[in-house]
Amino acid sequence: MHLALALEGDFTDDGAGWTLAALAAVVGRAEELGVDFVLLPDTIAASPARSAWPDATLLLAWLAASTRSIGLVCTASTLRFEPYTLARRFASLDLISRGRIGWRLPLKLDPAEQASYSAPRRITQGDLAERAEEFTTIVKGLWAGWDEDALLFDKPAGRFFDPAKMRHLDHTGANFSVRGPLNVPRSPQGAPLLVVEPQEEAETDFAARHADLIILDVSASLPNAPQAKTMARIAPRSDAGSTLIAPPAQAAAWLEALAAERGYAGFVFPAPSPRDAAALMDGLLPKLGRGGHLTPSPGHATLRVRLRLVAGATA
Amino acid sequence: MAAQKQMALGLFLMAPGHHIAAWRHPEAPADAALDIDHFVGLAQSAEAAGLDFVFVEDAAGVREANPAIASQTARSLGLEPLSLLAALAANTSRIGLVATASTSYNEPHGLARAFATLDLLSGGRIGWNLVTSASEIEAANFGARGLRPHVDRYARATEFADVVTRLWDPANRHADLDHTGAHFTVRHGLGLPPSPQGAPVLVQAGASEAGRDLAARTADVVFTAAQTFESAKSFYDDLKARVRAAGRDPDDIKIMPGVSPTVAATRAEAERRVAALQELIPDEVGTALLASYLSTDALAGQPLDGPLPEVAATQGMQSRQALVVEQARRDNLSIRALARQFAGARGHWRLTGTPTGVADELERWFTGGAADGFNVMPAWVPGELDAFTALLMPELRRRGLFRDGYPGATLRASLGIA
Repeated sequence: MHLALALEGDFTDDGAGWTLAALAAVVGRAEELGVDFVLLPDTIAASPARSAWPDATLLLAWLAASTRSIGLVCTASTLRFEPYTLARRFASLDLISRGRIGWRLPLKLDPAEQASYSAPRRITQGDLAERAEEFTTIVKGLWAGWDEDALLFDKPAGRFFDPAKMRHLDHTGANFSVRGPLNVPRSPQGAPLLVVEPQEEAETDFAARHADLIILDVSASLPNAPQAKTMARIAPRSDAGSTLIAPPAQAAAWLEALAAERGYAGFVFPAPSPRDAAALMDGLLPKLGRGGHLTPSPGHATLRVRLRLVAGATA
Repeated sequence: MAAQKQMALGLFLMAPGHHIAAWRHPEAPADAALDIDHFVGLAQSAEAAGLDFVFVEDAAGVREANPAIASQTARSLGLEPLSLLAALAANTSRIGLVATASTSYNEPHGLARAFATLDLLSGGRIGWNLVTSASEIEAANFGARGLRPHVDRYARATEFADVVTRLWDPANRHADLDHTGAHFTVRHGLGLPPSPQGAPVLVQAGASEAGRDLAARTADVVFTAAQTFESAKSFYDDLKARVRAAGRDPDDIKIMPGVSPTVAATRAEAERRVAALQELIPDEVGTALLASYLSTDALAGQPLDGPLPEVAATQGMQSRQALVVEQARRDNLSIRALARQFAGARGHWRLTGTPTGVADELERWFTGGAADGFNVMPAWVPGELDAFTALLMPELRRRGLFRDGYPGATLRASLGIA
């Protein structure tokens, strides 16, 4: 069973919310426990009431430096990046982390983002969906532009790469025109993982066509997506409203039965604060996994291998 | 505190090195530009030596349009600068970290947020080198048909720098910005706390008229390319005068020419090391590199041992073009000879010699009012970086020209700027 922590809530300087130190501590501990990946949000501040997080892609690079095996996934908006920039950032992250990176593509329009990014006209929700489609096609195309064996490093002959193993993208579409190629080579895992968390049917259709990993609410029905894994997002609550189903062993058994019944590859647990993350890692998470124990991932397996996804599924 | 003014020294980090053939050097790891562990090692070496910062440049695209040429260089592939800096921030504690990012293909809120994030991750050691993009190859990756004319790029860059500076201002971090300008609409502030240095350091390098104006008004550090004392001093005097005219203290801006030093115990040994790299340049690679900086097809079909033809001014890197053309005329260089010179440091100053000889030259520029410090460009790494830190820096310290240890925890503290 695969397990992930979705970090969310407030990022603060101090106090009960997330800090850089708390992030590093939680991710480090999650890695020791054998959690498959952490998922970071990428919220910009809309008001004093809504906390801004630091740039999630750069948090991933920073966390990659102090971790070895845990997967690192973050949200990155198609409104706030050019496709070439996003493709390049994630390809670089995947090299830095040795193939442990994923990109969660949000499909809902965020008004706060609209207000701080200077589009020639206001983008509607419908525009965003069409834009996301084209954006994803470009990003995947750029990631596939270099063959795995393109780099020769042949010093005597002076051949750094084989030009026959590199392709321009030459994309021209309604929203973007991108020639390529990317100036980052192929990822150690073929391409970063594409993660989608659909909230309605149109998004589910997108997920089925593009995603490596689909995250669903437990109430949603599974999409027809044979190339992807599906994990359910679940915030365990007891009848009394606390954040843990008590006791953990019982909750674990229930979750394992649910996964088997629905065909989930595993679960994503939201952690709105460092304390919630700690409670999950103290109680519930160690009870899940094979034989009721999580085991750390051996060696330097890529995230794609770790989740048992077909290599190059999105190429 | 030393009574004598101290040099600023940065490491302009290009892996496997600034020389176009560095990747072919027997001791340089050919995949250096793709290996985070190698970068971390270099940054840690630079930190152990006490350098003010490491600096990385950027290109949002491969650097050579012709795949047959590009495939003979290591310049088409590398780590993206901001993710690289985040990883370096995790592995260093005192050295500054400066990255290039273009105003042409970014949005100010996103860029301000990225650098503010890096500044938090590093505890206040970050700088942004502002560039306006000069490459048609990059333009094609961002849906733009050709480059914007030079003057438009700078109009956008001026508004961009203004918005970013206001977003970084510690007083504005939790307020709405509500900016509406000719190029940008930005409603929200960053909502992130400032680092111990307040705002990232702002670096620029454009030496055109528009570039100098923008730098004089906004920059903390200015990189420049100059091959002679006279041209360096001319730029230095002009820029400091503009800084005063803008109402700023000229000591608050550090002007740092690039220099690519090859330092050895004897001059003969240093020259031998330079010659060894020169041997590894294929003619077509050197000529293509030169042509890309001149933004011209005028070299195609020209005899390589003939003179440089007339080169029209273009929308590309105007100041670097002028420098290179001037070098060819001044030294009466054929295309081949100019290209081979250029392949070492792309028009920057090159010094070859003993620690005493090289230190004499650096000291002459520094005390003669042509530089506040230097951006060091090793021809290949780690070799020429190690030679610089082991042989040259002790000589600079012996002369009282460079500090021992870091005066503080931030990049502003290292550079001695407000």
